Amino acid sequence: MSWMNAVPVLIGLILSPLLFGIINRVKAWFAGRNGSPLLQTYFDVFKLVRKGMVYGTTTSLIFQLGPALVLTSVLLALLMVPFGTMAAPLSFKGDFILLAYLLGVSRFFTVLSALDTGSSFEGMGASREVQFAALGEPTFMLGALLMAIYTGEMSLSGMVREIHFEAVGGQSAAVALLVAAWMMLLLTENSRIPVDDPNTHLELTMIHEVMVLDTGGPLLGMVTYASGIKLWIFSALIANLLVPNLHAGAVTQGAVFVAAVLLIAVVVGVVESIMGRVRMRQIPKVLVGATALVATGLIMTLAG
Amino acid sequence: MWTFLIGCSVIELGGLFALLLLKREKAARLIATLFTVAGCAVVAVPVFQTLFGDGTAPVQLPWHLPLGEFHMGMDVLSAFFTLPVLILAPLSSIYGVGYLKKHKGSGAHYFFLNTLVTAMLLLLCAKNAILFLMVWEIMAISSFFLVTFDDHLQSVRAAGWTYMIATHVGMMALLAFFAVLSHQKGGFDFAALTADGELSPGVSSLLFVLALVGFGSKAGIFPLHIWLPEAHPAAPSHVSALMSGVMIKMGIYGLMRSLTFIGEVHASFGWSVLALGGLGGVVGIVSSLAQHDIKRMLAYSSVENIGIVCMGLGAGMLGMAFQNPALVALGFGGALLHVLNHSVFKGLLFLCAGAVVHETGTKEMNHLGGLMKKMPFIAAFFIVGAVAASALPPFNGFVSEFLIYFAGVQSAMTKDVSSIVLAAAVLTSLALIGGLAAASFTRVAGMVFLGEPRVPLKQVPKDPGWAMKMPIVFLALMALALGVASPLLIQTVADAQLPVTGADATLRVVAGDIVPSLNGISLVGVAVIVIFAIIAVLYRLIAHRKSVALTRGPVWDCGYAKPSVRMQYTPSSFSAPLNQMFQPLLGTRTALSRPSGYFPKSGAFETIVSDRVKDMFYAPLFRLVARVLLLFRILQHGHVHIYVIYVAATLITLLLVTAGN
Repeated sequence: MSWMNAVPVLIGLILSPLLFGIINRVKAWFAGRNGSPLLQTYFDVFKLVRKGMVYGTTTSLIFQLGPALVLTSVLLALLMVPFGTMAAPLSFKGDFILLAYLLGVSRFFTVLSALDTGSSFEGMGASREVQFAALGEPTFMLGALLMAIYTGEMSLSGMVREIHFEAVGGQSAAVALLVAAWMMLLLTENSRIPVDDPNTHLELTMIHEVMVLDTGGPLLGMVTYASGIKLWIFSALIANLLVPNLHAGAVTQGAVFVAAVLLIAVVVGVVESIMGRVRMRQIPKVLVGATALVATGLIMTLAG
Repeated sequence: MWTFLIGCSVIELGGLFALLLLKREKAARLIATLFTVAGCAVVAVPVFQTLFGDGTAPVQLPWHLPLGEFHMGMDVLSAFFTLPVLILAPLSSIYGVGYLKKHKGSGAHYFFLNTLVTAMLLLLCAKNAILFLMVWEIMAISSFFLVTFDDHLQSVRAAGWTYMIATHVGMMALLAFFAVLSHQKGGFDFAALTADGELSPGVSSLLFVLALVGFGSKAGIFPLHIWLPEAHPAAPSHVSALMSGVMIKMGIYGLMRSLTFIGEVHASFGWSVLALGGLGGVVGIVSSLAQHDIKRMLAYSSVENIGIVCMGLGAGMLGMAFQNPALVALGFGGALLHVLNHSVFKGLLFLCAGAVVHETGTKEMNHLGGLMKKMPFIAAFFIVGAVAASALPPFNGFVSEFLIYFAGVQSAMTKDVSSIVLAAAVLTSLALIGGLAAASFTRVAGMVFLGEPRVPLKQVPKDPGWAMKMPIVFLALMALALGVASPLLIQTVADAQLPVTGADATLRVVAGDIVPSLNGISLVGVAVIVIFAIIAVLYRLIAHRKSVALTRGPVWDCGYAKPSVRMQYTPSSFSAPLNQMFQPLLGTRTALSRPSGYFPKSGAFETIVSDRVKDMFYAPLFRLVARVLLLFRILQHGHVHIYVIYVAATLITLLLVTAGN
């Protein structure tokens, strides 16, 4: 691992809060508003970190430590995400499994922190979170399997290195299905419309936001930053599927890749602007649908 | 091998002393524990010789029983399966010293406990079918008496009865298995049974099914799992830990051993084990989400984990059928490692749950809550166990599941249709099980330990004494160690499968692939701890600095001025959406009486959790059996003189038959 490998991670760490800014700007543009500044999430995080803390009277140490574990696990997960053609700092066969389970650690402690408050709202959000996450897991794993079969590589970095349009060739339909399925996964895992609405004002209808209702100050800062990184991870995974190997220098390739990640944020913004929320009872169908898309892709590999 | 037998005798001797000290409860507990610890230390010597050295010589003694011979030997497979026994037996014993303080009957209890431990050790090294069946039965009987410790409770007696029937249905299949096998191969010694001999496909399929039923009923393989959720909650917690952590693994051992007898492994065997594993894993974890009883929930999680082990076994067996050495090594390797890992984290969870039951006097999760503040020690360690059981890094559950995942992906690399189907099946079920396990364990940990108590308790619960704490700490450290030190273990795991898979299929074949991955996992595991510590300290320094206010306030409950504990989400409400989704797999019924009229009085709502397999398969089956057996009542009057006529008639018939010949 050379120091060059650290650069993509640094870019991810620096740019991830920008994704929220882009999404909000796109939504504002659709609604005909000016919208908040692009850098609003940075301002929010800085403001939150400087504040004092208020702990709920029912909470215990878990509530104070949970967000630290959430941040730790997404930071480590980021280390395994390849950056275009540039390999991730940490790459080994089967690393996508560890990536999925690290995100699982972050979810586990988000849920425990929520339950620590004893608030029924937070319990409700936690209950929904674990349900939808469980249904999302197979989509991710089968998608990674699909990529492994195509590229003959078992690590994320290896898979990404092997994807270029010449190599994928006639199988591009399956890759398109995978992109669609993972896009649905991105929207679910990052609590966006049509699964969850980050801007809703009714606790009863929230999923992720309701779990951090009582989290404030530096703790909320950590949670916000962690969710930025999580959105970056998912966007980068999809961008990796889309950006071809241009056989260009590292800087050009990196710039195209970052542009693709930011473009995914724009797409998320567009989706949020033109779609409504799916009813809570219908969400499992959306998720099973995503798995079905990937499974179709897999069947296409059997045929091909 | 003599060292091994001496160790076993020491453990059994401890049990006998405990029995003699019947009236002196405390002395009985201490003596038995001391002997168990010492005996296990002695047994560890030949085990380590076998695993890391040049093995230990078998013991063969002539025996006056027909058919049998006292033949004990230890190969790497036996040695590997003794590891969970050697870890959990002393720890459960020590835990019991504290747990049984207020109970009567320690002497007899410890006699059966030590007998169970001895029987399991002997079972693993028995090299003769008759001897094997004898210790198998001793294991079943002694564990029956352990389950029925609180035999003044009707529910406990019923649970013991269910266990007794389940284990003997299995025993029946095993008797048939060994009878057919020895008829085919000639002899009861394992050497004779393992010897090459062509079995016709029909016979080998029959043998496989018998082994699957016989050993599967002990292991709790779906759909033979129904005794686990009955027996585990009924037993004292250290017994649950020992049974769930170790004893059910004897079924897995038996299944692996029987593969060496059957010879060639047909692909259909592998597919059936894989399918039962995947199905059992999903049904187990979905059922655990529906439970109200904390120990019953843990029992269903054992069904899930046995399912994961079976998926590994199935993948390995398919690897044998496909002649893919990497798949063999990874599948069996993952299964074996998960056997060890599950015994560690499930032992930890049962011991922590035991402390909760002991202190609060209830197993009903809907009544518990907020124990983190009263029992911080138990809460912290239960959460560690819950993380490990959800297969999350840096703990041990992740590593073994990773091996099975890896087996699936690796097999798909061949791009052959059945391998891709295998990979898709393994990845889908493991991913779903993983997600649901996280749901199930956040539910238990969050609802029992976090928030506020849902029902006022009679006494203030507190953390238990050292005898109950020490085993818990040890198991938690073990779970972490097995999680981050997997690269050191992998060779041992690879070697342990040799008796089943043959010499050329070790993990050495794939060492180039798997070891760098395990190194990466260990690195991340250590990094999780280090970075978490750094962030936590930084947070403490920043958020708790002097210049800003640090206050406590009520949590937000939509503006209610006085949130009451009754308003909390309950375990049942937490899992309700998932239960609704998986309703076809569950046997949950609801009883609702609505408040009605203009001046409504009280209403009531209850969910009754049952097991669909039990309701829809076993209950009708046993009713049928009962109806058939009732026909034989004609023969039974309770009149002695008629029985004498039966005896006479039999004798005369026999005489006539003999004379006729």
